Amino acid sequence: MSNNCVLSLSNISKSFPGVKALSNVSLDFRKGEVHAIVGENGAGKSTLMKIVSGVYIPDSGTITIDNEEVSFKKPREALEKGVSIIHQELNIAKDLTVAENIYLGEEIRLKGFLPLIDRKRMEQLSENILEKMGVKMDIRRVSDELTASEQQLIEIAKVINRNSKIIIMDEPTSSLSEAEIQVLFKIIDQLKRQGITIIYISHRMKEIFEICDRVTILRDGNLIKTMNIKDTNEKEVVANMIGRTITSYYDKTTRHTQKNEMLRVEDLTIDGVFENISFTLYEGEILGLSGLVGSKRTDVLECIFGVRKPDKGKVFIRGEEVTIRNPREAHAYKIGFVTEDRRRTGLMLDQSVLANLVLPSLNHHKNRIGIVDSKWEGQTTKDYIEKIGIKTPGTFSIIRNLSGGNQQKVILSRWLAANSDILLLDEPTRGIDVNSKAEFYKIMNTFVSNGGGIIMVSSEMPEILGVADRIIVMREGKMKGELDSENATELKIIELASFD
Amino acid sequence: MKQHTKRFSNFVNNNAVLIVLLLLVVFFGFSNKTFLKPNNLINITSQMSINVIIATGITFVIITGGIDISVGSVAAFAGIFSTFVAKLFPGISVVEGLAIQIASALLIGAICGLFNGIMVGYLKVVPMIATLAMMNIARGLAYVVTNGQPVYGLSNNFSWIGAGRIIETERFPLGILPNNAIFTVIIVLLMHLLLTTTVFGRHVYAVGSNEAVAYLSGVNVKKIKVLTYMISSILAALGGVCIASKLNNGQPGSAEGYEMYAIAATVLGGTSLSGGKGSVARAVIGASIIAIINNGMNLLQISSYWQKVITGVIILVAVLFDNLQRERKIKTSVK
Repeated sequence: MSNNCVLSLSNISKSFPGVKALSNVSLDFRKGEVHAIVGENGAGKSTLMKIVSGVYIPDSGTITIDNEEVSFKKPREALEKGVSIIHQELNIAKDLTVAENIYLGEEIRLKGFLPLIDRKRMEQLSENILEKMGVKMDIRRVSDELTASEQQLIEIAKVINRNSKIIIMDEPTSSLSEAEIQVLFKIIDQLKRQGITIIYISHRMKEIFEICDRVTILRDGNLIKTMNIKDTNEKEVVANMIGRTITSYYDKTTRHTQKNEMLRVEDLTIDGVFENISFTLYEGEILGLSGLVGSKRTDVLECIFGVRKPDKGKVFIRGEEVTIRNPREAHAYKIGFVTEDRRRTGLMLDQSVLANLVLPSLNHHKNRIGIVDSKWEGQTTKDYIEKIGIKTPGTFSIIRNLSGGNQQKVILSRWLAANSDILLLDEPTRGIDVNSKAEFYKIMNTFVSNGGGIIMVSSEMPEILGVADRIIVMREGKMKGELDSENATELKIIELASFD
Repeated sequence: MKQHTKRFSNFVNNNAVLIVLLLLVVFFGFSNKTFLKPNNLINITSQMSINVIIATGITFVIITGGIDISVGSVAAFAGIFSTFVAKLFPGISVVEGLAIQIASALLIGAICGLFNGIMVGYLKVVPMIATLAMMNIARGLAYVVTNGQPVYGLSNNFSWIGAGRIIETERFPLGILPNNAIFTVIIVLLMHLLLTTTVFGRHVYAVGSNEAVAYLSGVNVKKIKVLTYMISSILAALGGVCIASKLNNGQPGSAEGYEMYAIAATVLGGTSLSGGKGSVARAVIGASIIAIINNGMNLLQISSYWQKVITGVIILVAVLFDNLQRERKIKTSVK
């Protein structure tokens, strides 16, 4: 076995503050195999891949490539050893041609002392590579005009050109159509025959069983099992992925009842994104939106909040039809939105806790000439720091210096302070530690028991099972089912989210 | 002991520009006898007033993460416009003159600013390009309406705001306080209050800190942008009428390069070009530093060519220092 083992990991561990992301993972990758890595969100897949590709340095353990021990300090070093990664978000320079992209960073120079590029040779060689892959493409085209799948092919050509021995593909099919997927699979097959090892990360069971040779299952940072695809089936893999016990910090005792309708959407559609989404949110409940990455749950929330315009469908608030054209109008209907990307769309990082907390409320707390009621904002901020338990040196501390959990509490307080009735929460506890999570759920529960309603998007199974009263499962922009919290299980959700 | 040094270094970091300002005063005070004389200090205040007004306006735009390089041209155009109007009424009083000046500034400033704001806020033109266009348009119009000739023959009362002084004494028969400086102080105070105490001011910071967050929090981002460009242009126009008043004539080529002084003053004071950070006070400090350096170098009889070089170097050093500090801050916060 060690003969055809190209990459071997032994006892890899990695911790982040508050989380053990990987513990003692040992795993061999064989030459010329397609090896799937599966696991739920947070299982440790991406951490493992980042270690293999040199983005993270493991706390302990060794990596061996071709029987030679290596330790990568940066991605460049992994690249030189033949490990390439193709990310879910493609890294294509949009204004460069196909050939220029394939040779980006490795441009061929003309002979002589002038720093000129040998464009002809680059184009010729690019053509050769693409031909070998069995792809026909005009290598002079600007990449911007290419489809997602064509751009992906360029990325593959790029890594082939770098003589990669190991190619990591992170959710390579997430933006491809059925036909394009088949093209990709053909190429993967070819690479395999050339002796290149593919590490294939995907949520889609069907694909894994179609093209992979072996599958490794991770759960909570532990390696559960590596199996030959021939010897297993989809059910067994999924069963191994889950089976996590739901930890006690979910407040299961609270069961919210459905009485008054708060928000109802009917046939909400954005062409090409999601279609015919219909559901009702009742007063006093937490409605979960579950599904895989790319199932367009965030887009539904954005559409309700007025960020994106629906092509079709109606929104009702307390039985009255409304049109929400922008967040300002959503705010007028007392809707609040906690986005999934805290740093990009949640926080003003270099502003104070106070400035971040009161921003949406300012217009309701000013005098006739527009001066902010500074007493109100100071008091409100203090109140929330106390009530929600935000750990900060003071109201005027810069929010960048707070921990993720406390930052998230400030964002939630922002909408509570704005007297929101309906909260849209998008992955509200992503990247925050267990204790903060528990506190966060408590706040959510208090909010709904006081007559509020929450729609929560979450990719964490235990979270959505533990917190939501009802769960709607989406797949590729469509509603696939609704589950009651009593009947919902991880297995049922995964089945709805990934199988037809 | 360690605590003390830490507190001291924090103080130095947070007030670096202010310390530089004081050091400059001490340096020029010792190296030249005239520098601290009342007459010279009056001179400095008068000289820096216009730059302070323009820098104050541009501060609003820079806090939103934008830039406005049309301020010099807008100033010139508004100045010319005010002299045109004033010429129609030969026998004006001081108050009437002031009314003409303020009305001209408000009108021209509002129009130019609205144009810039709509370009940037609604039509998504890059701020540098939108205001570059306005820079040429306003300057061009100033030349077109005057046919390239200065506007002369204004009433002496027209120069009250730009050249007049109050509190005349025996030692200072011309007066101690330049009206221009008082006017500047009033504007600076009003703008400071606007930026720090009002909802509008908060929204300006929010847009510059993180536009997405501002939008999702219900801030009318486009409107805020339009308003900041209007403030910038109106204050530039006020600066422009002050120049015309000071000269007591209209020069289509006046205020050339003032956008660079104003941006330099703002950045030197510590307002970040990436937005979200800054204040009117910082613009004032920045403008003071520039004025003092220029004045001091004049007194030391350094050639005006070298003065430009030195000013440039000082701006670079200030910005590099600011970058360094920010990097250090981010590093400590990561730890």
